[in-house]
Amino acid sequence: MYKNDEELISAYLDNELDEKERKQVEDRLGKDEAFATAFASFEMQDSSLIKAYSKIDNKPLSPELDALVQSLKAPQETPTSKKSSGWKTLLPIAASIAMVAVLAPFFIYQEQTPVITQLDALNTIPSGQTITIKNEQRLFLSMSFKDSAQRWCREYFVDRGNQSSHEIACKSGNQWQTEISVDAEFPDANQFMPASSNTALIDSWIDSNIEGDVLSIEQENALVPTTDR
Amino acid sequence: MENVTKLKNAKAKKGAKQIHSVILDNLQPLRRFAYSLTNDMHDADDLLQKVIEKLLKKPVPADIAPLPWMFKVCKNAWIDEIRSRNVRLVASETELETLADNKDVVEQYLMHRDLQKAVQALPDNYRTVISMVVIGGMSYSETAEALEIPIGTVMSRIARARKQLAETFHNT
Repeated sequence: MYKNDEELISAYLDNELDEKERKQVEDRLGKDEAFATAFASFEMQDSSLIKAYSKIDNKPLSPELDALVQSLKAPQETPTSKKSSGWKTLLPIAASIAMVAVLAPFFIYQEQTPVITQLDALNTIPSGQTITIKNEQRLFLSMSFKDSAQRWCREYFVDRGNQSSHEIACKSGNQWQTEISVDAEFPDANQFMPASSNTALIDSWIDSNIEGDVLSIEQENALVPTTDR
Repeated sequence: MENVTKLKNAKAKKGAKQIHSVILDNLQPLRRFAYSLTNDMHDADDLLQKVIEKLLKKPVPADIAPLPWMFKVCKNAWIDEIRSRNVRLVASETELETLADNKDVVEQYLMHRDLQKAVQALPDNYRTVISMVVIGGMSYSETAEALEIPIGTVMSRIARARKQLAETFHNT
């Protein structure tokens, strides 16, 4: 099966031999000096290779890669993410749908603080992240998709302190327009929440309007206005 | 029609969750593999980022094992990168400047650097199997699947790669 000793030694080092074959190699190591020398050389070389390339383990991920990795972790830790199976498990809250409200005026009347606005967040923050926005409000960006009119739509939760909601906004021109908003508890990581009629409303809206699949982080990045990059 | 859309969306969500787990579970070997291909830590992270974005955009086909698929995507992404840059990258010297004034550390660094140069000097077919099997920790069958070659070819390439690497390294 093995054409030469190099293949046999390689297969041993790569854990590709069965018990009988391993025993044969080990027996030969004690008897055949040339075989043992070749074995030691390959083994040391492998060890050095692994050490050389595992140096990268000690280097922190680049900021861009780290953000991407964190976004992969977020849906698993946050059951209310659209990409997680816990998505349909929000606490039951009385529904109050506010259709087609324009977001822009909301920002105009906010206090002037240096933190990011909801508008900026919708334009620039990748899905899967929870961030603090103006006036100590919190925003969890759940996912993005394109609607049938090819508008960029984002599903998110916003915690305004005394009230939180689950919303979808779509971008027309430079303006984000709220398409649907329902009262909902803001998602906290690792919290399991039962499905509500409100969640079904959001889901139903998505099912009726989504065109294609949920956008990837790369596709979201491509939609970020160039002035915000 | 609505049920079909819901089913499609449900499958997409399930698939997305699975690929997230597979990526996170294999991040370290994939990053090492990227490093072995690029021979530069910054390039490795850039490459890995592209690979993850590709995997999120086009998830693993249902009938294919995830690990070989991810390594294959990584290898192909690097080939695309090399073509776009039109250069063969060489080992970075900048890391040496960051090392402490420690003779043992520097010697080990230089040895690793020479070894990495020897890896880079291998023919692509040999370098890829060394990267996948020794550095990435993949089995012969996984490597065969990723490269779409018979297991016997993996076996002979890895042995020849080790032999050539030893000869090149010891002559460095």
